[in-house]
Amino acid sequence: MRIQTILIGTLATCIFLAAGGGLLIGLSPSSSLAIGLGVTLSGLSIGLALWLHYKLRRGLRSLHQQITANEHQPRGQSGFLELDTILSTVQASLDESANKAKLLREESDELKALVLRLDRRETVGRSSATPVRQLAGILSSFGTQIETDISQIQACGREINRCADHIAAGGQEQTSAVNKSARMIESISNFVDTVLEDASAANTSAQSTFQSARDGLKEFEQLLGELSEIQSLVSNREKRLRALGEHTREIGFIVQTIGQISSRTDLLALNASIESVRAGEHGRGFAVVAQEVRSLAEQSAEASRDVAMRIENIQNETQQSIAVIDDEHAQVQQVLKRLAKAADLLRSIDLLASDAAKRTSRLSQCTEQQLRLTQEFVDVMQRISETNRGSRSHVEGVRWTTKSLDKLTQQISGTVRHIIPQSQQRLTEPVRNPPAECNLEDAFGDEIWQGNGTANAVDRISHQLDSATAILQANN
Amino acid sequence: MQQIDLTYSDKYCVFRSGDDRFCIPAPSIRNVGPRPVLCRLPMTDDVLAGVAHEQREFFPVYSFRVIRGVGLQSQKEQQMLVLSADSGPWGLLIDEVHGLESLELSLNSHRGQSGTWSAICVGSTAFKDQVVTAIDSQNVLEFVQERLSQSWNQARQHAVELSHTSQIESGDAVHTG
Repeated sequence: MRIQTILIGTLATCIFLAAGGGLLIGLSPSSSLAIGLGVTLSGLSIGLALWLHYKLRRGLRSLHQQITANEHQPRGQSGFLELDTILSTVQASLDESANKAKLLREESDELKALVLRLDRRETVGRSSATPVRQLAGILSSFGTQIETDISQIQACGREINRCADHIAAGGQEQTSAVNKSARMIESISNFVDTVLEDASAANTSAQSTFQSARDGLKEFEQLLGELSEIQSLVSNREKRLRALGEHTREIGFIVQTIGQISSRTDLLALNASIESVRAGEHGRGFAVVAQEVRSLAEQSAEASRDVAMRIENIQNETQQSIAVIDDEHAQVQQVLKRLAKAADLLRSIDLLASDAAKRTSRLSQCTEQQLRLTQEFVDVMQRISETNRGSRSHVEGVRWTTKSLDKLTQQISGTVRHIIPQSQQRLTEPVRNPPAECNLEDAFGDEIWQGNGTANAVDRISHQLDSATAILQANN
Repeated sequence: MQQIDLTYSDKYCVFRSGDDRFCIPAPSIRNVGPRPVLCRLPMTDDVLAGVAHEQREFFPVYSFRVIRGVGLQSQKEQQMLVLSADSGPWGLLIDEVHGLESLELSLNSHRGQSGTWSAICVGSTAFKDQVVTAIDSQNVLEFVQERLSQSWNQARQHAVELSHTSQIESGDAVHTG
């Protein structure tokens, strides 16, 4: 809460209370109640002023304590907004000052180290024991670090080698599995070839069956037509035979009439003979004529009987022929019915053969596609096998590389082991009569400290490490 | 009655009745013809086949099968001989006429009683390896007349009996009534 607001509020309240108390006492000076109320209000205004005083004092004390204690984190609120803002600003300034002091300390430390180093360089000409020891320590720690790294590199190389072995073994198994699969697929391909040949043969047979069924159906339909013609011919012949039978029957009637006439003639001649007999001697000539007439009548009767017999024979034969033709007609009808059934069966065979031809054609196409896919699968397997062979060669390369890396790390390790004992020897060697001039060749031996020997050795190690890193990266 | 001398005429009409052959002198025959339409007389013997009408004449026709005693058969006699008699023509039904033939008869020495079959058959001869019996038309007519008279007498007696019976029955009915 802002101080201004509190002050104005408190002042206004005190004025109001004091005014109220004075007004009550002034209006009724004799009334004890009014006097009591005026005193109470005056006391309240005084108490309020005292509370405000206490609050302000406590906030200021807290601010003072926090500033003097130089605390980075505020412990609490003062209760006044202005005081809290000041406190925050002061704390920010303190933090900034602390950081700057830290930086200054670091800079001072660096400056001190620099000054110390400069001092040491200045004293190198007088005493080389301390820098040599320092350099030996650096090299020792550097060599230790390098040896640790080399150990890790060797461990990584062994792990890579083990993985490469696993990969090679897996690749070999995969190659054998792929080869086996390829052989099986080739066997399947051979079977599919056989199935394709059989399907082609079945397709050809189905086509031939279909064509034969169609030809047979055509022949059958022609046969049906011819049999229908034969049936019509048989019907015509039956009609003609029936007509012939009818004619012969009419002829029989005529012959019967002739026979009756001849019989009547015979009787007439007989009567004439009787009359001639009754006439006695006068009728003898008439009797001869009557006898001749009777003879002729008998001949004609005999002839008519003969004709009637022949006609009867003809009629019998005609009836037999008609019966035979009826049988033939019935047989032809039965044959036609059977042929119609056979034609239906042939049509069914035709449909079935057509369906079989379509199915075998589809089967042949599917088998060809299956063969093509099998061949593509064999190609894919062969490519996988080739890839596996390539992977094996790569694994061999990895093995060779890890061997090279191992050899390189052994070389580095040898170099480092060559450096570390000498530096440790230098570290453990007591300083005796430091030379007037610092001779680095004497200090680090011929290999390291001849001219830029140390730098060359470090460069060589660095180069070998770079090579190892490059190999590892290449392997990765 | 015109008497025909069988020895005088050598012409005989040969005919068949059933399986047997018979002959009759040709002069006694007036004509031969097919079986005419016959009018059957009721209550007469079967020997009278009926009454025929030919050439503006009515004459009786007799059945030779019945005369022979063969009896009626399913197949009717197909031909008829018309014979002359003093009382007029009469017909005789036969199966078939063979014709007029000159035959030499051997006459029976013993002639039977009139009105019997033995009186009808007067002789016999052979013709085409078959026996032909000669009959006398007059005896045939007598035979028929005798048989018919017997039949009619029987019928008359039966009718009288029937009328007497009916009169008695009617009298009984009157008395009863």
